[in-house]
Amino acid sequence: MDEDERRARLEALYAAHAPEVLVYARRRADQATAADVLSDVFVVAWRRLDDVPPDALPWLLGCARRALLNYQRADRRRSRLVVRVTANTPGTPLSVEPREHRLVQALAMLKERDREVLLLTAWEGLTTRQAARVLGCSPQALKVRAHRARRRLADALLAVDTPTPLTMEACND
Amino acid sequence: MTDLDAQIRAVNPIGASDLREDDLPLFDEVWLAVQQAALSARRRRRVPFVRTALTTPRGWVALAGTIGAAVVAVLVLSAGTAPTAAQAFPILNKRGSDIRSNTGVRHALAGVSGALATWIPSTAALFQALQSAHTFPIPAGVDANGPGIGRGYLLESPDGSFLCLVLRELGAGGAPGSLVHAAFGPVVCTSMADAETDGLVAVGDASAYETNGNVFVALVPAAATVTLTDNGTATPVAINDGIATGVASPTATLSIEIAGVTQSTQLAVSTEPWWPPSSPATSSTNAAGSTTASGATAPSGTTMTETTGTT
Repeated sequence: MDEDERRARLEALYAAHAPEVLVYARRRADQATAADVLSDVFVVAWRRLDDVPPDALPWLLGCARRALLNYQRADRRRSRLVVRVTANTPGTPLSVEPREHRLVQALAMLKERDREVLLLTAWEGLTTRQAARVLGCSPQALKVRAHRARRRLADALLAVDTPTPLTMEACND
Repeated sequence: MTDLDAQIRAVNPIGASDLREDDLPLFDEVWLAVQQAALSARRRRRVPFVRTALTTPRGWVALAGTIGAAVVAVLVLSAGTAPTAAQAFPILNKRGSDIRSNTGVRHALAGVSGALATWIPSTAALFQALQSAHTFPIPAGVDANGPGIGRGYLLESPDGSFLCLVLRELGAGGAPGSLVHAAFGPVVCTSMADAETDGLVAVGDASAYETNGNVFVALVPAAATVTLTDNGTATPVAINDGIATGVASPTATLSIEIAGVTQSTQLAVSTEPWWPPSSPATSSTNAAGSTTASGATAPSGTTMTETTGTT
């Protein structure tokens, strides 16, 4: 494949999947970071164009996930989902009902891997097979993980609902 | 799909349809990033400096020579260089927090002339300066009446040549609740050079806080030591960020040793209230040649006695 063909393929990939990659990143990071992630993903895609499978979306989202993790490692503050959601990203006014808010809090309490298992299917609309490719595991393993993640999310919801008991220090104040 | 999955879908903050046309960068922008990344990668491959340097004997010699030259340059440049003000007074590296109330600022300004008033021309300017001043805790009022009390401020003139210690809410008679007129207590100023050789001491009457004794605050340069002598007992005073504070009886003496020279200050407060001023402000020069601009009633009331000698 010569340079022109490679560029044409990358452009086709971009036209087909850039919106989904951008939305994926926007759901997990602020606007500027999401734009950086999008750019990083297609830089990687260019470098490894021969490795991009025909069903490219899970591969691209896998790149986006790793890029996001790198950004989040650099800036831990961005890793808190609840903060991002309540931060009211410009251009996407959010109205979170109290019932929904506790779910967001519970999601934020999950480990990133557990959360991704649930969000990749619920938010990104991926099939089990596609989500498994994003996370680099088999579809069977993903099903097991999804089951465990749902259980942990239910536990987290209970924790959110349970009021924190007053400590002696609080009483003294 | 489970109910939980449906709920998760419901909290999806951004749907695909929420993406606006201008949210998505043009492919040309991404293509530019691709090209830049490719160029950077080629440059990184082209200049393997360290590997080249360390794989040949000549490279080792060149590297050792470069490091040696750098070390010599650092030694030459640092030799004999005077420390910066921030090195001499670590507190200058800190910024202050907002003060909660400006009550009494006008009194502080009216009560102090000299250096402070010349570079802070108005009440508003003083308030502004105090908001960005270098703050430090002082013992008095630690338990009294909420936040903001028991803090002092170190003001630095715009050109960095002058320092003023401002103690807050000290020196007032009466209950802590009626401290409006004494929101800012003793204010003492000196030049940066004098502060580096002599230190700077302010003393306030903390009786309003039912504190047994006077509050002292000393600004001392790095490497100085501070000793409090009270009833014949000498005790070292801890220094935090170049500020030593404490409470002592009016007969106590504070000794600051800087480079083998000891300055002693008796921690007596003027019997007159620092506010309102009873006479025009004065400026006095002590034996060491340092000028202390003071308020009309000698704001700190500090009696400076100097005993020079090595300890």
